[in-house]
Amino acid sequence: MAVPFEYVVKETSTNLWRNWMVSFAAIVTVAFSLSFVGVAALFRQEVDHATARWQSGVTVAIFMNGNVTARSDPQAKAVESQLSNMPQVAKETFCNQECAFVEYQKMFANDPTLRGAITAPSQLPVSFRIKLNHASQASQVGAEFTNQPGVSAVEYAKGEVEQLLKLSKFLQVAAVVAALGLLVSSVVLILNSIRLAIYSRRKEVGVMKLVGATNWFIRIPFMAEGLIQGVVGAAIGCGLTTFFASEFRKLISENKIQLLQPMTASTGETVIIYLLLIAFGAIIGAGGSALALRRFLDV
Amino acid sequence: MIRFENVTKTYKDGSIMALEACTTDIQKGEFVFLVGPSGSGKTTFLRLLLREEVPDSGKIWVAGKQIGRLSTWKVPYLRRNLGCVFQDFRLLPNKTVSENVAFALEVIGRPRHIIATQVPQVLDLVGLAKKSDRLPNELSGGEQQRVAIARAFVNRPLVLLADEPTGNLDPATTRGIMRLLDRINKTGTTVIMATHDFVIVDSMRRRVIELAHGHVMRDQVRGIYGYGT
Repeated sequence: MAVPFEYVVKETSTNLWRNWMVSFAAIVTVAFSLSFVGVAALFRQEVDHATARWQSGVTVAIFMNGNVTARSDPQAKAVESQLSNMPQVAKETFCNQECAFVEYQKMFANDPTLRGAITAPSQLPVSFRIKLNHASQASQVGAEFTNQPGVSAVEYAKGEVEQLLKLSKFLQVAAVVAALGLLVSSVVLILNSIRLAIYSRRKEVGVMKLVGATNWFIRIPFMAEGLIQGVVGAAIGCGLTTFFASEFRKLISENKIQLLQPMTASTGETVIIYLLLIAFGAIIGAGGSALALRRFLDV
Repeated sequence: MIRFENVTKTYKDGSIMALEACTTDIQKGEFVFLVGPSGSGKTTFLRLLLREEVPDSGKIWVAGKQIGRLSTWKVPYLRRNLGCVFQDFRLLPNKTVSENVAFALEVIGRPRHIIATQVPQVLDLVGLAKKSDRLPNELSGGEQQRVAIARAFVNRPLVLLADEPTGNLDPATTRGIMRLLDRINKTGTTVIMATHDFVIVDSMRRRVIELAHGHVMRDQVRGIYGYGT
């Protein structure tokens, strides 16, 4: 049976208004817990971008001259064979022009000017990415290639990068733990606010059952209430995420963690994270109200 | 219309016997008094009809359907055929008289134009057309019970169940309520009324089913209260 939309709007807004303090608490808790998740996810993306070159333990990158465009080039071959003979090198990989282009796009995801400056893979140099047995040997290994023919530059992952990667990992774990705790309390708070709403309307609910209102007719306004609390909470959580993330970036730049690249996440990624947060809020809201209804609306 | 066949209902894991092997038939359009002392099973009888309770054993039919077999989601549709009135009225205090009656139609999804015509009609029937904008606490007990009857009847149920509807009312008001129930009965609605009030039972001379300790003790076509008189 269809439940009139008007009726749901009327009932739900009355419920929210009647217990506005409890609703408010539920919304705030959802907002904060989801903003933790949001900041962690955003930060992960940003670190991922800023350290695109230094993923999976790569500490040295050797960039070749513009005229070296393939792995088969004699100058590239010379570098490669020298690398494979060095005991300090755990693993070396070749990054061709396509690979360099993808990486470039990622690093300047939110900087259209810089991103637009390079329009084809052929404008970028090829490079070797080196993973060492001991990160401390980076400069020693790199030095051997600085004056090699065909090599234009040698770059090292700085300490900040490593710190950043460590921080990112820590933050992810901490945020997930904190968010889990807060998520449980937001589900409980939503459950409680729905329970209060049902309790304060128990007379109406009693009459509704008596005159033969269907269970869905009784349930839907309460479910809508939980859903609204979850989604509004998540929307505020997105705002908080934006705020926390910008404060966090400031903190990093003030503490002179010098990075090769600025910390940014692309607009697309940010939107996806926000949409996920809102979907999550909806799930929390629906889950909390479903729990409350299961226990209190038995016929 | 309504049939109980060997219905047994116990509470608290069988330690309290509310109805035991109760069998009875009620035809369409009958007016039935359900009498008996407190704890004799009158309220259980009504709750079973509403399917607020399920019998331990035995079968109950309402309007051709065996309600023990009814799946939970169909229960609301059963209740739309059964109007209900209680001793304590159960009106919503923050809604006016007409809103209280309209609520019963709203929550079963009746369209607005039907509500707009049905509500004044039924308020006119119970004699409260002029008080439709009052709140329940501005009305006398008798008037509140009339509102409750209007709410129970507005959906034109097949059966009207009344659980001591006059229990809180003085004799003069009670007579008014009984006249109203009689009028509703004359429209073809079956009325089942549980009561303690021997004066009205004796004066109306309708069918009387007397319950005691969960058994049907007596079933008379034009009966009197008989108990305590």
